[in-house]
Amino acid sequence: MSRRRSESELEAEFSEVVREHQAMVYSIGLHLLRDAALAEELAQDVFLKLFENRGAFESREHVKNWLRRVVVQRAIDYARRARLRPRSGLESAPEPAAPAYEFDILASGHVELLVARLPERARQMVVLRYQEDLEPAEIAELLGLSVGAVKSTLHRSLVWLRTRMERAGVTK
Amino acid sequence: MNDVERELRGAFQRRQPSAGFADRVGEAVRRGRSRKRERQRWMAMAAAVVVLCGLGGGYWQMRREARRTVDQLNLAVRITGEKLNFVREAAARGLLEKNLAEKGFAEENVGENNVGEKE
Repeated sequence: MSRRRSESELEAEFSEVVREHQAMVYSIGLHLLRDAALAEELAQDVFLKLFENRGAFESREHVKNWLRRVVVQRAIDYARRARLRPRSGLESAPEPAAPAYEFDILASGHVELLVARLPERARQMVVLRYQEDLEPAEIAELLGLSVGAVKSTLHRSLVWLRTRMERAGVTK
Repeated sequence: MNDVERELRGAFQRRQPSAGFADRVGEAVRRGRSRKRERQRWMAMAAAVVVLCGLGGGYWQMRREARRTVDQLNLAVRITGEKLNFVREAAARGLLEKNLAEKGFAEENVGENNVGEKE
């Protein structure tokens, strides 16, 4: 009886953690993969991994950093798998689990399309910097890079993006 | 913050997954746990079968060796018994011949007794 109660308590606690971080994990996946269904699959996968490793965390901040790191790492695998996955016709496609990715075509959609053209590492840094508002030092720690490498990649990415956006008339 | 950064912050705002996401994760966790429990149960059963087979095999091996040892012991006892019989008969025969010789009527009588053998 006590085991049953502790299991339900554990589930309730875990469910709370999922609700707290689901937007962060899902959005990182969504911005890196640009596919809502795949991003949900990735987020679920990451949370299941979190549950498996639930004994290893010391604080809420530790959980948050772990989730950020794992979702970025796993997104690379998902992107590769998605590229290899054969495309099927609409007739055989299942009903989408989540609404399609909503672009604001006039502004943010264009920016996201441009960011999607950046190399993988640069894209990760941009998402972590502007979605998660992380400092270059935090990004460097998360990705296992030097702060200098993060700063220079972010700088080059911003220059590249500014040029393209000015050309497209998104910014002046 | 420049224009590009403002655009990026606007574009990369957090979004919520579809409704019921946390419940679906919880359901997946429960499914995974029951699968894990089931797997553990099967593993325990398989381990028990392996241990029982090992114990059974060991028992039969021991029994077979014990039977072989008993058989060897029986054989040794039988051989020893036969040897002892042989020695006892030989000793008895030698003693008889000696007694007869001492009493002086050994060869003839013995010879009479052994007529059949000589023929």
